Amino acid sequence: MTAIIEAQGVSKWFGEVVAVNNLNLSIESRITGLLGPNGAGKSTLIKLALGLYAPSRGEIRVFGSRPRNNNAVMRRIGYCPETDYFFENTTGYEFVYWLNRYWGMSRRDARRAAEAACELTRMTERMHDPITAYSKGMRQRIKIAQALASSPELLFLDEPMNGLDPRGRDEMYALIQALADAGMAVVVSSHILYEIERITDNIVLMYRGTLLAQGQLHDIRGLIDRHPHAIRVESRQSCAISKDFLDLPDVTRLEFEENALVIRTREPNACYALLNDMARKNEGLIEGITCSDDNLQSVFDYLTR
Amino acid sequence: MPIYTNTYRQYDGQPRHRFRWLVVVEQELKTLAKFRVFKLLCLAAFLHIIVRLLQIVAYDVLAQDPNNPLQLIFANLDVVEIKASTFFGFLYLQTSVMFIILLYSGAGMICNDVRNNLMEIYFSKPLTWVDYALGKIMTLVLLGLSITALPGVLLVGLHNLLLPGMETLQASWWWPLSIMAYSLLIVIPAALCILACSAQLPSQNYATITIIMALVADSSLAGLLAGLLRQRNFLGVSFPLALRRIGEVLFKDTRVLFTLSWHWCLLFVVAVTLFALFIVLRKVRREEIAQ
Repeated sequence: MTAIIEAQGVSKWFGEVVAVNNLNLSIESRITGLLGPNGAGKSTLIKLALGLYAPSRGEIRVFGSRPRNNNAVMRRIGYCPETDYFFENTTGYEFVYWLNRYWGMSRRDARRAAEAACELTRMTERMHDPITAYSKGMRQRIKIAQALASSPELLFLDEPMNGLDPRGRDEMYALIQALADAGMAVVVSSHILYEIERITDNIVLMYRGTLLAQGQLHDIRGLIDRHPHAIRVESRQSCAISKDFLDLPDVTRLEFEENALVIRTREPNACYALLNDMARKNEGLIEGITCSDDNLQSVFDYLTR
Repeated sequence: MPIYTNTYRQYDGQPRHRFRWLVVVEQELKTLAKFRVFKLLCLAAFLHIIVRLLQIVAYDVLAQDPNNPLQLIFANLDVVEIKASTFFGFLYLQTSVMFIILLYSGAGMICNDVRNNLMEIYFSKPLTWVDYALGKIMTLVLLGLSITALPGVLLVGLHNLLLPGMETLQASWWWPLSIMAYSLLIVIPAALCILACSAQLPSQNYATITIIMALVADSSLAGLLAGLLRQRNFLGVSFPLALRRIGEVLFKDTRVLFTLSWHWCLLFVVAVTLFALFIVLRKVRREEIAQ
């Protein structure tokens, strides 16, 4: 499979701030998750691929060509930005329509494409309402509609789940899958691992402007599994609970907090099984369990340690 | 219908490559047309045109008809007479309305796009910074010309239609050229200065206030200099009066306010216009690069 996006030694800096640092990357898969905490350089990488930024050093190619000032490449790309402040005086439909016209469609095509895109993102009923009256989720959808309207081959979604309710998220996951199944390459950026896990196995991990890891999610998980996981158990009887974990061979450390116990283990499944048993035998003993490793920052902490 | 049952379709139309700036003009004008204030301002501009139209009818029809009982009144009224300075007067008065309309339309044109992060969406489409800048400038220029040059030339045409003959044609053949030239001279600098303020300032209100304050300051300075140095030619420092001086020359108006050579006034107007154009282009270009 040929690479859709190829970056070779790409760096981008703004004054003294290095947003992307010597990035070598090749994206080939249909859906790619771009993961990283805020400030990792995800949005900068997307804008470099869109041709909105010129690399300070190195080269980035999309569909084999440089995207900067390249209308032929730009026409093949759809972009849904992170921010959601748009035209103040237009409706959602008009917003999509005018951007279609900017893309180069005729009036009739722009109308049809805007209606189809609104339908695809379930905005048909509210598409003639002013954008100022939209909820955050609706703004998110109309933003995605404008990106989809020109039927791009490559779609960049910058934090697309922001502001969506659980149902909206489920629909967005399904939409992304449907678009990928129909032949569109989708790059989704997020700082939430769980969101990306739901839609793809192919992830690109970025941290402070550098590429931390790229590949299948289970490979990266494997890297993480070499490090102890942290499980936080909320309970008023944390001392009592801790006794049973002392016997587990893979538990490396137990930490006591106020009404909570933090278990650090290389074998989290054994701990979860034990916690399940405890919860079943003694109702009310465990008030809550959180695995801090689900938090992306922990993943980055492991990988950057 | 659940969204995942919809299918994704490739766009099979042919994208248009040329005159993309026209889409920007179309969008801006359609958006402006939604506002009641904008419609009211256009109506105000239109009312003045109606008054001038009545003046032409009064002079060309009533004043020329010896059988009409009103002929004596209109034939002896100097203000009704149609001459080159009539159109200069029309444009001079129309300038204020034109300026207010352009200020209302253009003060937020660039700053609102920047504030609302629209630039990155615009430039992620195959729209160049030149298309964008040209679209914004042309919107204001066309808007301004539609209430100055267009009615002016049409009124000259009407005058020739109502009072046909070689004498009228000989007297008025150059009027449309003067109207066009003067209209461009008042519209282009106004449009560019307003857009320059919009490009440099964070909001529509700031841009509006700044441009009004700049005009007041400029006119006050001209008045002060002329008064203190007892030299009326310093009135040419005032941008509106510099334009007026050029207008006097273009329309061969004998009521001269000051005698400063029109070349200096034209140089002043061109310098301000080019500076404003530079600011607009630089800002849009920087946005395109930075985005």
